[in-house]
Amino acid sequence: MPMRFLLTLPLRALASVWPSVAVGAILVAYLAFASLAPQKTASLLGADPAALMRHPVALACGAWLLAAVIVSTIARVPFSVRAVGAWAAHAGFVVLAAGAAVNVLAGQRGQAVSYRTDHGWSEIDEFQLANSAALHVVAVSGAQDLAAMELPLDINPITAGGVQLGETQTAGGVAVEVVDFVPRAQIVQQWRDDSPLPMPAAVVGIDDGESSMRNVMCGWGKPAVTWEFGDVVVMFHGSADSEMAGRMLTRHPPEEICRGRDMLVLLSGQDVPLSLVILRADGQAELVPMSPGRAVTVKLAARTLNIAVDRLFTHAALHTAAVPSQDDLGVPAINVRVTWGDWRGAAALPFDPLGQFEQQAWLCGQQRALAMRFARRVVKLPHRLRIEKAEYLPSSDGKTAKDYRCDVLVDGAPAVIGLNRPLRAGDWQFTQGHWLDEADDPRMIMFEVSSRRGLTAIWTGLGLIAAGMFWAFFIKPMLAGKREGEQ
Amino acid sequence: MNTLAVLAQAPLWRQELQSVYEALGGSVWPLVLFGVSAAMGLARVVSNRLKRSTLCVFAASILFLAGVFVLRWIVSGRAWYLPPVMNQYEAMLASALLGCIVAMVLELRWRNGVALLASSLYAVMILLACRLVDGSLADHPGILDSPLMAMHVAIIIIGHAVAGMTLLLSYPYLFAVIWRSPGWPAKASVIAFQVAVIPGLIGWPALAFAKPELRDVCATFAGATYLIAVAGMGALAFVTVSPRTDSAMLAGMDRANIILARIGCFAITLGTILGAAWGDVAWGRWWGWDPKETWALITIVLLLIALHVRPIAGERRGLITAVFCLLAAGAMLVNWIVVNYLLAGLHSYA
Repeated sequence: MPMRFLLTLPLRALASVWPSVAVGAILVAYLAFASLAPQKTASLLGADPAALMRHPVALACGAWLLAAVIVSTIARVPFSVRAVGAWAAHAGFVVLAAGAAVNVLAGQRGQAVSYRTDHGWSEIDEFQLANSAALHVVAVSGAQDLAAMELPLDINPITAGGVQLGETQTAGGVAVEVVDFVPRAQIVQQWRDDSPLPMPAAVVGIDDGESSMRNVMCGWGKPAVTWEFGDVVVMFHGSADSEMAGRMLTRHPPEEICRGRDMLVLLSGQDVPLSLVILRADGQAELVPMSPGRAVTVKLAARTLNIAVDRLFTHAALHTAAVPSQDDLGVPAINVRVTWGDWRGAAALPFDPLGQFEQQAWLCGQQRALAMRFARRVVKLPHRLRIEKAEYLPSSDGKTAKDYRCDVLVDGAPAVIGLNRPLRAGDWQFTQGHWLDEADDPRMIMFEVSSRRGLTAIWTGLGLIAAGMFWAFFIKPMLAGKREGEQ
Repeated sequence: MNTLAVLAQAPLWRQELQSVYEALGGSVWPLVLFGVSAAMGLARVVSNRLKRSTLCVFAASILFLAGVFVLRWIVSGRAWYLPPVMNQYEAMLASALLGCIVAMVLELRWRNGVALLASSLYAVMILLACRLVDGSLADHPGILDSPLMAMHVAIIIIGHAVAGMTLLLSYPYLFAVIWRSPGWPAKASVIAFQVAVIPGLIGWPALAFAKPELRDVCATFAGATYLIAVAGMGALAFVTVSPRTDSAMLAGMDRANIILARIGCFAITLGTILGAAWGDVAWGRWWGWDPKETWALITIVLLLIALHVRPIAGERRGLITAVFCLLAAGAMLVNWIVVNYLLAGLHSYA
């Protein structure tokens, strides 16, 4: 008898109302805290703030209530016409939960981005998967430009409990190991002159009397790097030779760089002492010798600038490390260790949900350099989408947007994506996301992309809940009232 | 004020209607009418007199508010399927109107004055709060230009109005229940609680009225005070109550409470479902744990608890219904005040 009692105890608990009320109250309290103070709740539970609604506390409460709905309906509500409402609403919760589970487990969601180029909008055939994280490695060799190869090294999604640590992944001769995951990190940066690869860099400070800025100018393998200080272009060339210095004074730089603006070129090299070439917009050029730490005053047509090279590196290396943040402003980050042949390096990579907006972290070694990015996983789409025309329609007062309309080609067929007008292609849906930089002249358009498996079950469940509630709350009492009246 | 910009391109007849709307909508007349309706409603519930005249004043108040609502709809120049429920001011105005219409239906059925009194008080509260928020006729963002969205908001607003009415029924219900329980500690604790809470309930909105620059702070503290009032009253009731405190009036309030809880629960659920359908079309996801969605779910869960516990609560069923209705109304207030103004999200007005 006691054994039977013990065995049936969970079912009895599920079938009775009070335990479920207690669980419901816990769920309500949890949802309230998680919604009002997600950071505090996450730090109390040691969880990721973005995954609070998938935390075991929430899932356990939800599972209990779902089980209670099933058990108590079967045990306590005999099926009859009067009980149709309760059965329908309770069945609706079960169907809804099943649909939502399928949607979470089998569906995918993320963002797809198209850029405007000289040849029109770039084609969309992949998207960045939401709630995921991956280490993307872009290898750069010497002075070559980007994208020699890309090695997506997948790690566990951040939101599913952290990163796979200590596991080395290798591709193309590059071995990358994630040694540390810091959920809320501050990235500490330090420049040192200890790179095994010749890597010129300069710490440049500019002051125009109203504002002053400092910048570390490093070409990362490229011969020169530019920096725009207001309407003045500053260029640093760290491996210049004397012939180049002479050429600078006689030949004006390409129009695509200076665009009619004044230009300050900092030159340095093995046989060239640190010097500044002032290239004025009117075509005049002047060479001024410099020394590290000493400012030079430059009078330009519009304003006067003080420019100084505070420090000059010949073998610059940026050392970064992710350390736990003392405040709530930290971002998820990983510390990685890279081995490439006999060369080793380490770097900290902050998580960037949309990787394409951020510079990659760089590691430089013997005649090779590595660029890495800690961002979302990139997933191929089963469809190809190209924007033909993007149109922004403002409201009559010009202050709000009436529509963001894109005429697109999906697998060659014309379609439209606008506000409240998503595009559906097979299992996939595309909705308007963000337009950057200007709405009426966008250079980048981001669509929300989702495949919603289980959506039919979700709508069925929600429909059953609404219909069941209507019957139970209004029709059933009306029928009961009529019956009482007849009696 | 964006009203001028909206009207600059409007035809002449609409501009004329605009002046009528501003004269009526900007006046204190709706407030005065519902104030009179609430005072007469109180007298009618207590004395069981003035039945017809109270109903007439209440009906006139609704008609007046409906006129303001329809005028705003026309003057705004929006599509026919987009009623004025696009911002906080319009949502509050609509909640007063729709709540009172639901109450009128219930009043015509019950004829006991309870729903009329609760909805009149709710309308007074909301119309007072309307004077704190921006009521200009700004053009609405295109993302809101959807019949699905309009239905979602309108039905949710009915749910919130009804939840607000349960607040106004449950609070005095608990007050009366505690007051009637034997012994002086119950009475003393009720008085102490009222003394502590009521200045906050009235004081914060009043301060926001006087100093608009402190509106956000006042809204936060007002929201917190509402929650304290709700939770404290419920806790007091549980500590001090004796179940044998029923009377015809309390039974009437309890009956109204449970029916309003059913209507509120159904409307908020249906509205949330329609919101999910719109969210799928507009944002590409049917549910996103946005604070507004989360607090709508909290309100639904609390109302469902009230409805599920009631049949097994025995003599305390009225008490338990009132406590959970209060909590649900508190969640609704958090949704309107804290979520709208203080939390970031798709539904935030901050």
